[in-house]
Amino acid sequence: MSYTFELAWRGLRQHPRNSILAAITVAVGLAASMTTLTLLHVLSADPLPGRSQYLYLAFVDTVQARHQDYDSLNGVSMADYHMVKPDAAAALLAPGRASAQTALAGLRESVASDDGRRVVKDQDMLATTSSFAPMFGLALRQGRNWSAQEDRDHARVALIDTGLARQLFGEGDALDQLIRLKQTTFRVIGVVSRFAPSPHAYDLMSWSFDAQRHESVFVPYTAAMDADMEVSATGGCDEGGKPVQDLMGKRDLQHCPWLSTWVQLADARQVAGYRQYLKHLSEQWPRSQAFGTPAPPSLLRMDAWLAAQKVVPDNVRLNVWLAGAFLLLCLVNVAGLLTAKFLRRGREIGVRRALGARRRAVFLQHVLEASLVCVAGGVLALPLTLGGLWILRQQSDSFAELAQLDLPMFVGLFALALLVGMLVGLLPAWRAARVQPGLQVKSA
Amino acid sequence: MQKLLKPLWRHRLMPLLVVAQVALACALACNALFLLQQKLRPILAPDGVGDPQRLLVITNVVPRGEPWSAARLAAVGQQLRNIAGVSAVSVAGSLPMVDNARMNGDMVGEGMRTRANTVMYIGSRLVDTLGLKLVAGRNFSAAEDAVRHREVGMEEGDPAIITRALAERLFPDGQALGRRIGYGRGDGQGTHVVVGVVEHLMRNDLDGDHSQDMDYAVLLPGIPGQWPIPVFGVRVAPTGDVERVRKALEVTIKQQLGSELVTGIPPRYELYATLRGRMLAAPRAAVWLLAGVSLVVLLVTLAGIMGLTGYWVQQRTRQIGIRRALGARRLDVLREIQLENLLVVGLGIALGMVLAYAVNLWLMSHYELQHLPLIYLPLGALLMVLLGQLAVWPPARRAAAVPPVVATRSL
Repeated sequence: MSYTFELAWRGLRQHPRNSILAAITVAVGLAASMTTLTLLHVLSADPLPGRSQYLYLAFVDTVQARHQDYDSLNGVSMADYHMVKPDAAAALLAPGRASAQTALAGLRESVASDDGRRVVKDQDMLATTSSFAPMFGLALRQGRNWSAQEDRDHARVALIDTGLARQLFGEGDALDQLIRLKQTTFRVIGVVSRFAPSPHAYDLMSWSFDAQRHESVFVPYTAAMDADMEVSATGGCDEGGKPVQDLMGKRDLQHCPWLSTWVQLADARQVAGYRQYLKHLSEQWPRSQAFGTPAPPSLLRMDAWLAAQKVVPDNVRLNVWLAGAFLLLCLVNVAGLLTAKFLRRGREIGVRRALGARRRAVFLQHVLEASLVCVAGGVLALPLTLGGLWILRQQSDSFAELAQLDLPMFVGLFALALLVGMLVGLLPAWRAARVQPGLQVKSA
Repeated sequence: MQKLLKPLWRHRLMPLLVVAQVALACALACNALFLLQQKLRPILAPDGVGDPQRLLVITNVVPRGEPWSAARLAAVGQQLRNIAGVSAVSVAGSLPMVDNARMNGDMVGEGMRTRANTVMYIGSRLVDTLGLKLVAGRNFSAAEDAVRHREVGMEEGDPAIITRALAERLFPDGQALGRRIGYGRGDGQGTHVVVGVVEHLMRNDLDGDHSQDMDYAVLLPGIPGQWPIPVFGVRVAPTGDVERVRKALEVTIKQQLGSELVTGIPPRYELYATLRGRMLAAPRAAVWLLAGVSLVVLLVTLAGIMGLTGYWVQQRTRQIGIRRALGARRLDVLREIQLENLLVVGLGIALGMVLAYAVNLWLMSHYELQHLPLIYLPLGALLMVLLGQLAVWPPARRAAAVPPVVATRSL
């Protein structure tokens, strides 16, 4: 084996120009593929590994108004985020149908300590229920989560994260401190670690990819309603309420959809059962005839929801395919270069075979040589990939910052280089092994 | 022909590798160049705006609470108009190159069957402020422009001005003026009478494929009501000083609306030309990327063909020497090698065309892309042929330089 390796290494050094050109070609192809693959890998990552396959977004239309069909009139950013009104949320939150259920909505407010001395502006918050923490894996560092009874009581309690706790209360204990959101005082009952799943799958309306943002306060949504917090939401409201285009104005919290309901369903049977329940709810919900038929209910698993919202732009996938085709071109190229190099050595191969080397040994030697060239190409591809990712980060896309090479991708680069090397080497090595020793030795 | 094909077929690995390379390069380059041309469109297409260096655009004017009423916005517009050096002001829901709101829908001419995906711009004094060129009909009258809509402004049956490209599409018989256009809802609501045609006006939603409908736009007069984020366009008079007007705009907006703006989002006052540059930065980056990719593909293919052909020629030094000894001229040898290359590259191109088309069909089905226009195929073929001939030139010259005496040596 070491002899084969030595021969391969020597063969590599024999024709430096050819080897270098082949390595560069492989490097360019690999760099293009790895850059696009890294971006795709980062964007398609599972936001909540281990949990997301059980989380479903439930939606039922209970808005008392004519269901607007915005298909033919792509209006002013009326993307449908499948939000429900509080009355529908209450029905969906009824226990027993799913393993767990929660409703949530994103807010953005300034947070002040109760004495008013410290104010932290523009914090993202989540108005939700007690079941959010266990369902989505919110990790408590201190204190406790609020209970379902506190949800029902509209209790003014809050969970804040360690970063905000430090900003408001310094090194002191944040538990049982009071914070002020808008005009209302909330009591901190727990401190959680930083919670920032990427993509922000449970509230895509606020953001999908943003390395700078994460929720730092969690409050019961019933208390948020009482405190008259401003939510941003889309979708039509009940007839007679605010006009539909009221995007930036205050939302009527009773008559407009603003909550996203997520349920946890353990198996296919539960999923089917819940789907049936949604259908039943939609049909039985009282609705005036004048408003026509409501929007159909839906139950989407988290990955299906992300796909439906096109969280990963088509562009990104397209680039992966283009890069793959480019890599293929480079590989065919390198295969040609290697074949030329191997066949130029026809005489040596002939002598080796005449001296008794098996076909297999010759084949192995050349496959190894090809692999070495491609691994060299892989090493060259690393700075090129980092450069490509740097170029991507300069773009102003929202996910530009995420284009970083992480460990799995780094390993993937070399694995790909090795795989590519072996594939590319197959054809030239096979051709080299088929060299007739007699012919070669004769035409000396 | 036979004497060319036989030697190629006997040692077919190398020629086949060249065929594969050319086919792949063809498919890749054709599609990359096609995508490039698509991205290049919004950069090269005329947006219809006259004198972009004298148009200022105020964006990011966001109310903290309720949206401002149309009457209020009209008053602010009047204040801006009163600034010295300003010749026209437009209070609008959206403007070209401003992407805060994109309103588009499928338009249909009354009684006609063709549909066109069109963008709508609703605002006062749009034609004058943007400096659009009227080619038929008339501009909106002062009365029409003074309308303050309660709702967004699309429902009422207003007059409308459309672009020439849209007129030709909706009314191929040539008569657009006086006809009605609508959103194809069939309930009679929201149709507009075409009173004027402008030469060009680009749409403001540039993502997606708009090679056909880049120039389809409709202008509606009046100020939209209940509009969350209005946009102001300010045309600076030829005698006015742009910088001074810009400063005056900041002062006026702060005076009029400052206290009602949402905190943390300051309004932006930009030259249209700057705004356009900013909006087109992404397609421009894509153009550079695709051009770079195409170039690298062609270079890689060039290097590949050169390498392979060089080796191929070197293997047949003896045969070439024999032929020269038997009386072939240098030119004959050169000609033969070039012809061989043409054959191999030709086969590669034939396969590459099919592959390019297949790839394009696949891209169309999975991503919103258009059909590759057939003109690309002969163009791509020509490019590859030239590339192949260029690539084979150095090795061919080396081969032609082989002296006949080589045949006598038993190398």
